[in-house]
Amino acid sequence: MSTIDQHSQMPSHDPHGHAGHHEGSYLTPVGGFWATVWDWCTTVDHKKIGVMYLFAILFMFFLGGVAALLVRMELLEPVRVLSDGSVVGQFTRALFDADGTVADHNNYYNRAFTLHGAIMTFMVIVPSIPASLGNFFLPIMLGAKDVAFPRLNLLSWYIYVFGSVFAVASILGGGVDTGWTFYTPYSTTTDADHWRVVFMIIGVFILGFSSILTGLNFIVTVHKLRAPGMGWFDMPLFVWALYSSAIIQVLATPVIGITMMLLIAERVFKVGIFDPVLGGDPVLYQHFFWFYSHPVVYIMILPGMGVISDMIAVHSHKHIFGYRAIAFASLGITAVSFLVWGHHMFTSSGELAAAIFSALTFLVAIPTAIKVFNWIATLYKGNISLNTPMLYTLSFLFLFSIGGLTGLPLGALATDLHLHDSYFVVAHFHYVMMGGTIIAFVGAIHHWWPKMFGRMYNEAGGILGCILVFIGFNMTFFTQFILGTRGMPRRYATYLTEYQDLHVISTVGSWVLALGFLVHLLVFAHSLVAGRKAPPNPWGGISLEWEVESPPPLHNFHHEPIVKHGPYDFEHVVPPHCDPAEYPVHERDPNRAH
Amino acid sequence: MASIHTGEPAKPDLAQAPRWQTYRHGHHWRNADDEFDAAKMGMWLFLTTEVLLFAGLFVAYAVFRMKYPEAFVAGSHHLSVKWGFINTVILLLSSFTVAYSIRCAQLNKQGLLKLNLLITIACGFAFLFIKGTFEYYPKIMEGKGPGWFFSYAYAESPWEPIWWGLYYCATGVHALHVIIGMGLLFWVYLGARKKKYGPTHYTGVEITGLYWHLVDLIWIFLFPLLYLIH
Amino acid sequence: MTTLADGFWHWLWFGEQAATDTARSTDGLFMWIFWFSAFWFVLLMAFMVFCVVVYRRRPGQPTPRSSSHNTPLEIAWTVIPSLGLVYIFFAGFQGYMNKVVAEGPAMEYSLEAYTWGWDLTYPNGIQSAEATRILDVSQRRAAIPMPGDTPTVDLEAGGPSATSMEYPIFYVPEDQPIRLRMTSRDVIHSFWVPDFRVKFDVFPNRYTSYWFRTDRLSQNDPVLPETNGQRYRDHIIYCAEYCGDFHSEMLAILRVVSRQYYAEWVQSGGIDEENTPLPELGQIISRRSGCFACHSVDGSRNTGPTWQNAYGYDVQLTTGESVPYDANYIRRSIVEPAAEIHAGYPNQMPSYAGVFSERQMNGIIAYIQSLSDRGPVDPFANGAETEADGPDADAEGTEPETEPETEPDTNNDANNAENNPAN
Repeated sequence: MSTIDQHSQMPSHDPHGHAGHHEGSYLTPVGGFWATVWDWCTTVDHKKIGVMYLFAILFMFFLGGVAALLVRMELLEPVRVLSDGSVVGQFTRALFDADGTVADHNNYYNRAFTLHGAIMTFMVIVPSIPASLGNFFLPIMLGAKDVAFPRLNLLSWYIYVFGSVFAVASILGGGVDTGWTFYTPYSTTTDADHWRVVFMIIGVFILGFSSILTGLNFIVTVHKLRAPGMGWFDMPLFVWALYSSAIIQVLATPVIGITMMLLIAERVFKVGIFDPVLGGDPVLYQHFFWFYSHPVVYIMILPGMGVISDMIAVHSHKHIFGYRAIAFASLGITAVSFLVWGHHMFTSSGELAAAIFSALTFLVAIPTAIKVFNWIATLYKGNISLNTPMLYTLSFLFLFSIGGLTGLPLGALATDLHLHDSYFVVAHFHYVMMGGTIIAFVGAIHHWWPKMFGRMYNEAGGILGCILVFIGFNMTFFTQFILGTRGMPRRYATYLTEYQDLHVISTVGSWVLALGFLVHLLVFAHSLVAGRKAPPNPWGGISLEWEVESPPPLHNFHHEPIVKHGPYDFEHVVPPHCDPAEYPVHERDPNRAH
Repeated sequence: MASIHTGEPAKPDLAQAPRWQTYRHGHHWRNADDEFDAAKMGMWLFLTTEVLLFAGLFVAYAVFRMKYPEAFVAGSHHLSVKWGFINTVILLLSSFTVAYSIRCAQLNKQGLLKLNLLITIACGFAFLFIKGTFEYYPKIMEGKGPGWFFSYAYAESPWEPIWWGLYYCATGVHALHVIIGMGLLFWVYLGARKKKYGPTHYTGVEITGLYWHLVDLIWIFLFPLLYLIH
Repeated sequence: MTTLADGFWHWLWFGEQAATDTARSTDGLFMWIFWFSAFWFVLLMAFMVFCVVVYRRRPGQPTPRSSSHNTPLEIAWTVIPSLGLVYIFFAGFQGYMNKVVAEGPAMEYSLEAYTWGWDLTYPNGIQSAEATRILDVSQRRAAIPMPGDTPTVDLEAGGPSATSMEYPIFYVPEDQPIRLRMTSRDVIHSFWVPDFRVKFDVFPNRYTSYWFRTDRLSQNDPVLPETNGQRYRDHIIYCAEYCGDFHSEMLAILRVVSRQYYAEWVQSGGIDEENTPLPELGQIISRRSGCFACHSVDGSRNTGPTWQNAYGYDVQLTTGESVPYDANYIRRSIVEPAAEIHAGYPNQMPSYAGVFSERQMNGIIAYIQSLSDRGPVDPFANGAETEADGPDADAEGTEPETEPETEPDTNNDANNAENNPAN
């Protein structure tokens, strides 16, 4: 049974003459080594750009991870660790004190957590899934040859690299100690005579453009480049999620742009808008900052939710439960995300604002809960393969549920006054951002790895890595919930001895976590070097990306596809390139629409 | 939305034809109309981001105007309504010429297309010249500079530096957009010299024109907020 | 059974009981949310595990037919948890109002935060000078030592930690509504007493307030030494808004005492600036202002230069010139620290212009003088030393003006201070 009819008519003309069965995969080198490098550097192919994004992001993830390990190392003991003479201390000194101007106290720790936060939010989690996997798969899932603006897409990658270099260059000057939130007036007065803070802020400003261009590209692509037959509700939920998060990217990112510009003006010219000494208002800065930085957590999590929707359906070999509910929940989250920024400021705002923002915050919980219920209902009567992507999906459901539920005491005003800026918050957003987005990201890399690189990974190695990450993650961060409720404030380099036991568990957990990621790194490296050749459709998926070879041909499709069934119609559709005996289907019930 | 085809259909003799007739859409598009619509949609989305960027400045303006109304009144009195008005007229004129240039491209009036683009760029220059020579320069000389360059001894309110900070931020960011817009227009002008734009393909003129209208629109908001409201 | 479980979980989350009525109601709400969350979490996870076990992959068998959606079910799982959310919102709002609106008239203290410490001014205008180290707070109420105890953390081994620094103690009466009017001298801080389950941010150039009413002291609370059985209870104060280098050491202790003891204490407690000898006053002010975070008094190197044997010597500046370490240098360094930087040290000290009264400034000078072997001499103290100008000869040579501190002291430091304002 053919799942997709090839378009009988070719487009009226094809200026490049590439459409044909003779072309190789997008990974086929175009010539010698330097010619291939040049080809990659100037490519407008969304797949290559996606792969380039993937490696750039994974590299930044490594840097941010090193900073995280330093942070956890400091917290191993109640006294200062990083500023002593140990190996770790010397490493930190070399990293953050190149010119010897950083005072010898908690500044190493402060610089480490700022670097960790800035890298992980602006350079890893925001672009993670959309810019790498989204770039690669969104056009293929829509049946398009590329995103709407391929050159802008390449530009966005270069802007990303440029902005990251700018931001990370600040550690060459000794690092930044403002925290990733750059709260004024601390951020406008610290290191006042040094360029490093301005560099970090400029870096964040530049990265915003990269995010805007990606989001803009996705929105137009979804509107204009869907294959014939693909209605809005025939799109995979990953595309819905990318579309929803792209709207936030376009609408929220400019606000961080102007905020960072004003912050630079503040530092360079002492304009005074955010500086209370000059008559400015530091709370206004917080409003500006969170007007972007709260929606941005949905830029981070929505694509994660999208890949979970896809992975849970494919690896259960079952249609997703409540497709429309999940799609509309994505849009609902997008809408409400702009109305809740004030919940970061319950301890600094007035009563009325606090009450309104608290109420709106609970509104966000509802669509999120709907999604979790739908995912778990999808498992019911499924046909579940327990491979690495599925284990990551289950990890996501576990961790993200904890992350979401621990948002409740933070959204409730009375409890938030206690938990705000404590380790409870740290644990909460790590459960959401890392237990949500990063876990989904790593799972999705496994899910699409065979498609992207044409090689299978070692399943046992992947499962081992997943288990290590799951255990390490919970050791690292569950302890922090308890630290928080017991009164441990965040961003503390030293602490009272009563908190040490939990901190030790947390730090050991961070090592387990690092080990888990190391296992994944080895599995990926092994796969690239010696992996078994991947079939076009190793998991039995039926959305369009499984239609094409692994890795996909240069222009994705030899003929423009026409979509004849939904992306999750596993009951009635034999997956392409698969043996019908392995994936038997039911007769289509004429009384039910697909 | 389909593009408006008012000119001649493309001639088969491609070797002699101007470039707009031989234009072929990107390989991932089904047809040129889709591509044109997508480019316009992309530009509209980008303009949304620009509006939101300036929205930050407008919010800051509103907040501090409520906080320090006397500083804003005093600061506003230092601005020259005359030059502000002249600049407004210049930008409105340039909006007209850029709109006219799109029409010229649709009607294949290549000479007028280039002329209108040049007038628009000239308006941009005039705007910046007036802004720099008659507004920024004398004010900075009098000590009404941004932030710590503020040394004006006769300020009527201690919070006047905030007003000047916002004034320079808002008009400075706007001037930056004028410069970017002029660069884009010049790029379109170079294309127009090579006959890249015509009745069947004028995407570049259209989206650059959209951008220039935004530059104009932002000024239409800035002018009353900064100059007229006392 | 349920209370036992609730007790265990409450202990796991909070360690010890809350210290105010509003805090207890917060704990109650937290535990309600906890059980609400635990119910849904366990339900979902149990169903997930059930599905994974029962519906494992069966190659060659079709996935059983099942419905793609179920509207009544979806409405149910949207509406039922939402009702819980509505309750959480209203309970949270009510608890919040109890935390921000004081019940009845309250005593008002003025609290000023700075990098990195807290200044509390009592309703009668005094400021508390008493400070202590925090040893082992696992038994927090009993283990905050009295002045004179030695710290258990070796300062040399790992540098200072939260447990080895000295922190101010603020006294408040038990069972009395108290409001803090808070402001900051520099950046944003946040005043958090975890035992009260409340924090509020502290901003420069505006006031925020913090309200609480502690429990009565009980027979389980420890007894203050050198009192006839007065009990007390200590609560840790944290800064919860990141404010720079010593953010994690910006601690203080809130000590709840009986009303009767408080009334006695507040008469004599705090600093009596007029009657404290100058060097002692200087030491108190220096500690309270966080000077010892950067300046040692034992000759050891820190962020800033040590105060031991500094006065009366020459200072090598970063510009290469050398100036005498005299009273003027001290004053300039406090008011305008960036003007003259000691060679080999970072330009990191914030300005304390306008922070100290004249007498406090004199106290700091007198204290630094007392730490130097070239400080002013007191010929009447031991009778042996009569060469008054000797130790200050270097300073005198380069300083044309006659400075009060280079004059031979005629009596103790208190007298010196009386001379100073006249100059």
